[in-house]
Amino acid sequence: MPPDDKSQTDFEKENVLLLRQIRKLERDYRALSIMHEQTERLRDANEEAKELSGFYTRLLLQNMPDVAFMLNPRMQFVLGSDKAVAFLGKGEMREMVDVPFDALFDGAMQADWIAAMRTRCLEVMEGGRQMAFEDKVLNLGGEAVVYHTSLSPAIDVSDVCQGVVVVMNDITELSNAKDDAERASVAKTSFLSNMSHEMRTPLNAIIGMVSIGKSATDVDRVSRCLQEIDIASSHLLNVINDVLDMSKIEANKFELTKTEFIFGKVLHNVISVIRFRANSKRQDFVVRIGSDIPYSLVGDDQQITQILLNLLSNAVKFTPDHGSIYLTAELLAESDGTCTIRFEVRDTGIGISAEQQKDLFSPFIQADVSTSRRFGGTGLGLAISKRTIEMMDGEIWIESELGKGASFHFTIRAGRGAQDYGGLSIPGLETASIRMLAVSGSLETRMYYGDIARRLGVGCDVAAGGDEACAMVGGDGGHHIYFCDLRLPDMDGMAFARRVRQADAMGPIVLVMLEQEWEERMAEAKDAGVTMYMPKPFIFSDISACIGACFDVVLSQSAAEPASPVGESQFAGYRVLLAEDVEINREIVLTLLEPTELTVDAVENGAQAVRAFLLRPDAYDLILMDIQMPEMDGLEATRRIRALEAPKAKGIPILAMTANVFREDVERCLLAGMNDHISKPIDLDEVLEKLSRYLPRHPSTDSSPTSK
Amino acid sequence: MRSATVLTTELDDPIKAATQLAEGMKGRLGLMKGSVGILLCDADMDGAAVTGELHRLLGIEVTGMTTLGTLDEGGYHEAAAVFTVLTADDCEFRAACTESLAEGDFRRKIAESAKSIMPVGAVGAGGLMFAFCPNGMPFSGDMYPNVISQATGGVPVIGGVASDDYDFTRARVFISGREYRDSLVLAGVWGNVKPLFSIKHVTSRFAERIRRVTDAEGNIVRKVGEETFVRYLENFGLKTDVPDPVLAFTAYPMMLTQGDDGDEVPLMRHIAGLNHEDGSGTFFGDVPVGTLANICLINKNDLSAACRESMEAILRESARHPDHGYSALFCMSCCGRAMILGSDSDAEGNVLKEMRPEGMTLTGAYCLGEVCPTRYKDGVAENRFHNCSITFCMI
Repeated sequence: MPPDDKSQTDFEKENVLLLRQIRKLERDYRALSIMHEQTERLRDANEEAKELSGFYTRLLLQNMPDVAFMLNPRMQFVLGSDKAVAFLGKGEMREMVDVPFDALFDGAMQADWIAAMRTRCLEVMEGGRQMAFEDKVLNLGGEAVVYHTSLSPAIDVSDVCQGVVVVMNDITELSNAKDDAERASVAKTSFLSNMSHEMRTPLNAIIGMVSIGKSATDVDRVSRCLQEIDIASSHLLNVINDVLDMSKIEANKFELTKTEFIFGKVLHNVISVIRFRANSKRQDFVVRIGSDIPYSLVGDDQQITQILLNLLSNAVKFTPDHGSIYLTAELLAESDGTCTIRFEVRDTGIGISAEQQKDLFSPFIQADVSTSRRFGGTGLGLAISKRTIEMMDGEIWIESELGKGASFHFTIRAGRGAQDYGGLSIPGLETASIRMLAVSGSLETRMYYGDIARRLGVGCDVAAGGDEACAMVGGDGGHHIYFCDLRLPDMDGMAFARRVRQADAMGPIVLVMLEQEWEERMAEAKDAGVTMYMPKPFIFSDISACIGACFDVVLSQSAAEPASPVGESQFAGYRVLLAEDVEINREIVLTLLEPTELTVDAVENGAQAVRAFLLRPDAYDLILMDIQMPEMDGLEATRRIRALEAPKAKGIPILAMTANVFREDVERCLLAGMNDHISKPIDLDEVLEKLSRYLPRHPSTDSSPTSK
Repeated sequence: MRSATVLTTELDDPIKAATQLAEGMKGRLGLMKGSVGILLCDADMDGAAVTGELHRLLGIEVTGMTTLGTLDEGGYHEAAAVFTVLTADDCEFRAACTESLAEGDFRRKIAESAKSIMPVGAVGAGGLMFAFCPNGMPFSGDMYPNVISQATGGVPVIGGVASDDYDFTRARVFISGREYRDSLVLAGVWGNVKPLFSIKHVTSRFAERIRRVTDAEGNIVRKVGEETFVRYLENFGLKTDVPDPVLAFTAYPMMLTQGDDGDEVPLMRHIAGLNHEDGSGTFFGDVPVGTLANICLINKNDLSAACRESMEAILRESARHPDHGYSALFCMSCCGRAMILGSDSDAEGNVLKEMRPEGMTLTGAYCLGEVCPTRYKDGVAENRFHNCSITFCMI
């Protein structure tokens, strides 16, 4: 029974409320139970995920290439990459936790860096903003390292800064590469500017001289204009050749040829060119060639010539008047038929500083930008030389100090050629019985004479001065030939010659002197009894040629001069077919060939050339063929001519005469059936040389075109 | 506009409850030219009877719905009903109810009802709509704000989905003597009304396994990344073979980041069901393909903090407009939040009590999905459907 003070309704109502509360509790229990279970499951999964995350973090820290670490707001170490731990060298990471920043970096970085970095870290934590910068740091070893450093505030989900994350990326290499690229870019710009200057200068001379020449009535003046145009054109051609060579090198299309060549001939050619330039500056040009270098070598003689000319031209260019230029070559080693030869080109010129030497062999860079202004040049020569030397398995380097001259060294590897030094063959004399007397104030030169004589198999006495030499002169039986410097310590070479002749010694006397000096004093020399002169500097082949010349024919000029140059009139009676589409080029060829007395028929394209040949196949002795022509190009025209039935079609010499000058162009010409290649712009000497090769000297009257 | 809220615990006697509420209201508020009533009550209450009697006693339309808990100035209450009246001389109040949305063209029905309570010539920006949505409909919760927005030209909508004691079968909506399980009840205010809104969910902690939704349609998600949705949940360690997925996953809503135009507001979504046959999951709201999904980990502190932040935001905003005379604050919060709060069920209520400005009416409920604008774009409210959020509307 319910208590008296409560009605049945009240009890029912309480009961309802109680049941409602129980129901809501059940509801809550149900909800909380499932939630609890899910939470437990999620927690387990999250623990696993956390472990995995920790593992990933460790992996990241182990493999991160940067010095990366985190500091807490009190600037104490929290964690870092393995690289950072190793960099700081304070033990394992756990031992570094809570170590203050300053102590952390003490011993790893300079004090001023530590102070600056501390300030920046505090700034980042205070400002809540990222900071990134690059700085060059001297580490404790004094080595400069460039770091890209980023500092990021460690902001948690509640927007509270929990420290700073520092990532130091060593970008030294990148920075250096960037600097190099920037330098290269500046250099290329500068190169373009130089190039423009280099090309405009001769062009300006050409255009200017043409204008002057056109209005000139005075023959001398016209002649001078033409000379200037000749010089400027050659210079322009050199510039263009340099640029083309470099382009080919850069495009990896540059190839070396491999032919057997006479080493002495290369030297002779180089010396001939440089001697002239050095003489004009009154420079002393000394050449010393090791006696053990083989007579002939297998390699690219053109490139070796080019390298030597380039280095020697620079030496002449950068050495003041009356300075000295030295060329030395020696055999370093020989193994399995491959010789390693070292060259040295030394001068007493302006020298090159260590800073300038760094970029010396880079393309487009000259030691000093102002150099090109002062001395001219593309700045490509050394770069080209370096690449070609490397292609010859060699290397090039420089030893120099500013103001103390420069010494360029390079090595090349070349095969030993089959040809060897031939002994001297003098009619009526046994080589071994020949005895020469060499007089020079220079010990080095005297030794050089001895060397050469040994190689020639002749006897050699040397004297340091005129008196000493005269004491050795004793009538005809003494010496067969005398070599004497124009300037001796105690007397003039002319005086020595007189003394020799006074002593009734009749052997030829060769005076070693400059060409210019010979021209000036030739009459005096002949009067003194001098047989001939030999230009300085000389090499083995010069001596050999001199001896040969003295005993074979009596020469009154340099032994180095060609005995019989190509005569321009030797082609009279021949008929040549010229295919050239550009009128001015036709005119140039026709005009240049005028003195040769060749008969030249000109046509304007390949098709016309084929027709002309077809009409009179026996009329022509040689065809000069341009390549790029309208209607039918030179290659196709050559193929068509070669395919003709006419007896001469297969054999008539066809020479490409074209501005397509790359090796592959030459190869295409030869493949098409051409015999040879003449490059444009046309060098008359080259044309004459090629003509003389393909047109026999003194054609018989029957075969001359006029008789046909 | 003026307003007042009264409370009753007389759940079992509708006439007595209505009388109490009407008397209490009359003591606190004189009705003006236009008025509307809102009843938010426990599912045990006969809402039809109570709203009918209130309509008869006060002569105004009374709308409302059942909830898990009701809010007034004293905080949250279980087993109670709160009744709020909005009255004004310079506003027009209208209410309507859709036909059954369980079948037929529910879009048209929602749109027609929404339009029906718009005065002639009214524009969306010039009003406010309260939406009391039925639970368990065969479409996504997004349908309510989307269709209403489209039909009205973007009238801002505050409201929620009716709920009960996690039973989900007894949720109903009311309108002046009628109750429905499958109709939408709307109350509109037009005239001098400049509502402010604030919404906050919980974003501080995540399971940090973000996956892109790769196969979904409406509110059904079939795949996230390369795995089925069910597999995705299981990979978290969560139990999926559960009799009641709503309860099982209430504490782990998903946050969706859409990344459409760079200033999107992330949305929260609760799981409504799981299909083990095809591995799909059904949500209360839409989950578009391409959104990034991440499961949230919620705790009590986060909920309180979110409540405080949201309240602070709307108070800050209202302080910028002192001349608007804001007097009432509606708060629709999520049942999931109530469930997580568990024994600490007063946590959100205490924050609201503490922060409520003196003299401001406070009313609200825990519901199964909240409707509230996330922002205004080009002067038009972007109404959105939410889960696990606390939303505010101040008028």
